[in-house]
Amino acid sequence: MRFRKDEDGFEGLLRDARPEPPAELVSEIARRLQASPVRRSPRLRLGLAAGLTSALLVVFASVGGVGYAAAAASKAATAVSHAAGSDSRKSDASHTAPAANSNTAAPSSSTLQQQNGNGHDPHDPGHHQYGHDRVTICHRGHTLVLPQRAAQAHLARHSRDTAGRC
Amino acid sequence: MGRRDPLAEPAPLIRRVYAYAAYRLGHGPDAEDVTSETFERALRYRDSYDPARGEPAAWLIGIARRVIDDPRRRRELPVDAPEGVAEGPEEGSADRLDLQAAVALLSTGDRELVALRYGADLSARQIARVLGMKTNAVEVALHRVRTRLREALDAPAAEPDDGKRARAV
Repeated sequence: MRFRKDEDGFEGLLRDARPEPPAELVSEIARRLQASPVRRSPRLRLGLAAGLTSALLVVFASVGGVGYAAAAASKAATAVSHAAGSDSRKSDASHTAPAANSNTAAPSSSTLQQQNGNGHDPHDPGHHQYGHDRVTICHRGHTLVLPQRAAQAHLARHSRDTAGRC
Repeated sequence: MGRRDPLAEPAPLIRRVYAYAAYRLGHGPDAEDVTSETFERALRYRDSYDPARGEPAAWLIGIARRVIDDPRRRRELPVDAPEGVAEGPEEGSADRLDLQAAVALLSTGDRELVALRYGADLSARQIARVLGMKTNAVEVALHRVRTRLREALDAPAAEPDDGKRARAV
């Protein structure tokens, strides 16, 4: 017959003999396809959001923002734990020896001065919160907890100020 | 990052889908309907196309197969001999008409293979994936189909010629 016996020739002929669609069908379908826009899938949108968040985190981290935020959180946690520790110690003290150790529950300023010599009040919440470099002074009838230098300046400037609670 | 649009270049895809449908159902309105419906569904499910699972042509052929096998549209669809066979070849396309008529005489399974390979122009590997077969098995089956087609084409014209060729089994 007209077909060559070799495999490739016959296959080529099979492809050439492929039925062709009417031109108007092709143009009609193509027109319909081009008329409808491609929508972005929800997955793509989620991916886009995740990508942008990651990029922002990278930028934030590069300028030290992450470290700053972590440090702030750590400080807050420390302060809370100090405050909680102070409260529990106080309640422990009041529970164990409420009457016998009245000095511990409400020490006078003179006792404090005797105890630490510099007006440091170990039972003051400020002491636990701000550490040992804070000093309690009495300034015009108000008890202040100040950094050591500020307390010294106060005492030097105001002759009536005294170390310890008012 | 952007997902590839499977229908970005539609014209070649339309031709492949139509050729696939025409090899299965015969050249004409049924193949046109199937092509149209296939692209209608493709448009609806365009977002679900996953490039990792195959090329757009293979995805579309998967849709076309479902359209053809859809029980709602599956009336008794005879596989007609190509138009013009009964009246005689036109415009020197005798080879094409002979071949299409020979394809129409094949069994459903053989016709499916021819449609996928030479209509949709899928590779043996893609066909294997579509049909759930091994690539080797597809290649062997295609070889046998080609042999049968050659025999049908080489055979003397003793086919029933009452306007319709014998239906495929």
